[in-house]
Amino acid sequence: MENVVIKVVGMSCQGCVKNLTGALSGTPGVNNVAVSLEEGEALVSYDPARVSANALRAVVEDCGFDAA
Amino acid sequence: MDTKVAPRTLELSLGGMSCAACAARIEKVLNRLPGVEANVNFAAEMARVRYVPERADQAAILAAVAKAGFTATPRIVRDREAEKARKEADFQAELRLFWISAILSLPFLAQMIGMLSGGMSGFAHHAEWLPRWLQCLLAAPVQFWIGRRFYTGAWSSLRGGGANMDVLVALGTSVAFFFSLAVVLLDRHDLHVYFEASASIITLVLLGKLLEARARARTSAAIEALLRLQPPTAQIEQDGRLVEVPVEQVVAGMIFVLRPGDSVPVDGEVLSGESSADEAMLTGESVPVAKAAGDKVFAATVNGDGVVRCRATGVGADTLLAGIVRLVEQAQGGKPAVQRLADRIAAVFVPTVVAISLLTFAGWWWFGGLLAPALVNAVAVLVIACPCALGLATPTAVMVGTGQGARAGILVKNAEALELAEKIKVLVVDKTGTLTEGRPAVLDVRTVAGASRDEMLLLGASLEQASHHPLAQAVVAAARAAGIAAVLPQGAQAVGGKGVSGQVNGRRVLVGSPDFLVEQGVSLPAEVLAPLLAAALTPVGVAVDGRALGVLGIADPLRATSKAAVARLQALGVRVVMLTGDHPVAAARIAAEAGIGEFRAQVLPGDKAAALEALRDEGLVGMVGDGINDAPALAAADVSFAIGAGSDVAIEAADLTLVRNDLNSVADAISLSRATLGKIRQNLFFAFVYNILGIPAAAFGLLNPVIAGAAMAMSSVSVVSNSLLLRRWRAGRK
Repeated sequence: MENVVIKVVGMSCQGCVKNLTGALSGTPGVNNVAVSLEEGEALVSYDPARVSANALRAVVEDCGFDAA
Repeated sequence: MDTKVAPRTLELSLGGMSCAACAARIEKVLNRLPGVEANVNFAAEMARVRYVPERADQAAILAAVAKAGFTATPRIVRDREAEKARKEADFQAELRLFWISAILSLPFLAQMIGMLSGGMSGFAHHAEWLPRWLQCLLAAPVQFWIGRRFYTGAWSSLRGGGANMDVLVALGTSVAFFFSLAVVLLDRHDLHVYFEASASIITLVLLGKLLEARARARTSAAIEALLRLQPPTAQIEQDGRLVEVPVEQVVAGMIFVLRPGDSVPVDGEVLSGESSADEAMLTGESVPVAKAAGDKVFAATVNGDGVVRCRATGVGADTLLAGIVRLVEQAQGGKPAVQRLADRIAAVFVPTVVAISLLTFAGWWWFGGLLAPALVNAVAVLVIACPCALGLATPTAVMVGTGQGARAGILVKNAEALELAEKIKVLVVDKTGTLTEGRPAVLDVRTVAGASRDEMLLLGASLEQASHHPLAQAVVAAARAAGIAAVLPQGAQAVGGKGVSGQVNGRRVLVGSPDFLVEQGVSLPAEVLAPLLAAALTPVGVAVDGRALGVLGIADPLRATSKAAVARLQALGVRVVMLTGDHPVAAARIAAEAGIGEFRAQVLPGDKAAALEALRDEGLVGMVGDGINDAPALAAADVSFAIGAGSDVAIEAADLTLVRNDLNSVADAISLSRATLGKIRQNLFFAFVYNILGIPAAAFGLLNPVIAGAAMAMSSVSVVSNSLLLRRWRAGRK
């Protein structure tokens, strides 16, 4: 199990947070997700055998946010 | 339109958006797809997507939205029914809230009347009929359930850095309520309670809002009217047979057939056959347009008396009609919200009152040294300051104003438009059907030397009875007006919208365009034809037994009232500009006759709205029109008028409908607007003045429920009776 912090630009309300949390936790290989609106970041713990950090960034991008 | 790789338009209803950033995200996700251009409207919860069919498809677009965590469903026309039902349900819910609020406030009214009659003789304090706990129970639901909207409205206004009417209402009523609640809880019988103030203010403001909402309930009907013009099915040629196919299933490239009188189902190109098409609903042009191979036909126009085969070129969202619908929607959605007069006053009033309240508190504390009376008096200032008649000031004046308008043939659909009409600087006037009759008439008759005018009218009108062409009907009407009785023709044959041939009284007669006569071997002498062409009249020649008799000059004549109305508008300081799709020569003739110095000719329906925008720099732009083609411009104008027997679409898109076919009504509407706005200003003065007078009393600790009640009653009575004075307004005055 590994952890990654993804900087997320473009969140403005709890709706955005809920949305992103849902998208990330729905991704296979993701174990736990914590998204913070104030910090503008998502903490994801995932199984590196099943999903990569870059794939997680792509999920963030697909939601319409900018991931860094 | 380019038929090669025309981009398609798709409309989506979106679900799951919670803020404007969500809308921006969906837009971003969609625009990242190749060949896709998207526009998301957060408030309307919809997206308009244009895509190149070769590079993207509907499934990919829907998938992208779903991946971003939102739901999307393609919008179809039938959704509008649901929307209409939803708006109606919203209105009913509002109405119910108002009644509940009114019933809860009613006991206070009874008590207030008692207090005022008793209070004047000095026993105000003992005139409370209702036990205080009951007052509290009655006022609480009004304050927090029914009045919830004022808190949310106030919050969003304050967050935006300003104060509006919601802030004033929320502040005044909350202070009155919580102060009274504290008095009840502390069981301080020496202090007054103001539950009646909070409850009746909210009820009255709600009543005002309800009165306004009624006028606005039916805006989406405009678009339905447009779409209804398109027939539900098309006659499609398949394997040499004609099959009736629902219009949604018609795709570009299919061959469809139009019979005489059919509505055109989709945009297309004529392959064979000759006819004419009535395109008045799209272009406003009253004279039918001849259609032959190679010409384009447009959905929702009406085929004349020929049969034509056409190939579908534009279907669904790609028709000219759909384009106009989009323009109307965009214009309605893009209209900037008018900042209401009451809000502007509140923006200044609220900070002032809060400052006075703070001063009162500071003053009492400083000089009296006690906290309790300082607090009580500071609160009293806020209580008395909330003007209860404020919510009535605008709606009552607008209601009486609209009533007066209705009696003068001016139907006001949008109350804000009535407030704005007085400020119109530029008035854009559609030509056909607005300045003119909208129906062609014979304006000039020229006969060849030696021919009889009556004979020509008799022969022409007799034969033209066989045609339903509007030009033919003009000839028949001209003969009737000249007292000539037409006879029944024999063997009349209409030739593709160009003319008619047949027998009248045993003689062979031809009536039609000069080209048609030439085809039949008759030429019209230039000396009879030239003056008509120079005056931009449509010539209709008449020939008998191969000999030309003369020419009738037909055009859409200026309405008798138009010239005086234009002069009246100009006297009101309004710049009048004529806008038309017609040829410049015809436009110049009508403009000169009407006394209009400025006109724009050959403006396509889709460009009318843009032409209007160009005039915006001058100030508020008004628009008068009657046709569907005017609808986008009507929706784009600051204030729009649909005139007379205008199409349903124009009426729905316009803010005001003028029942009479008379431009004078526009001048009346502007004059009514001036009168109404004058009343609104006076009303706002009355709404505030008694409360303002009460502020010093409150600041010096002299406020009691009698003063508060009196201010409330006086301002309401003043406002309502002042509004009723508007009934003295009469049409036809400057």
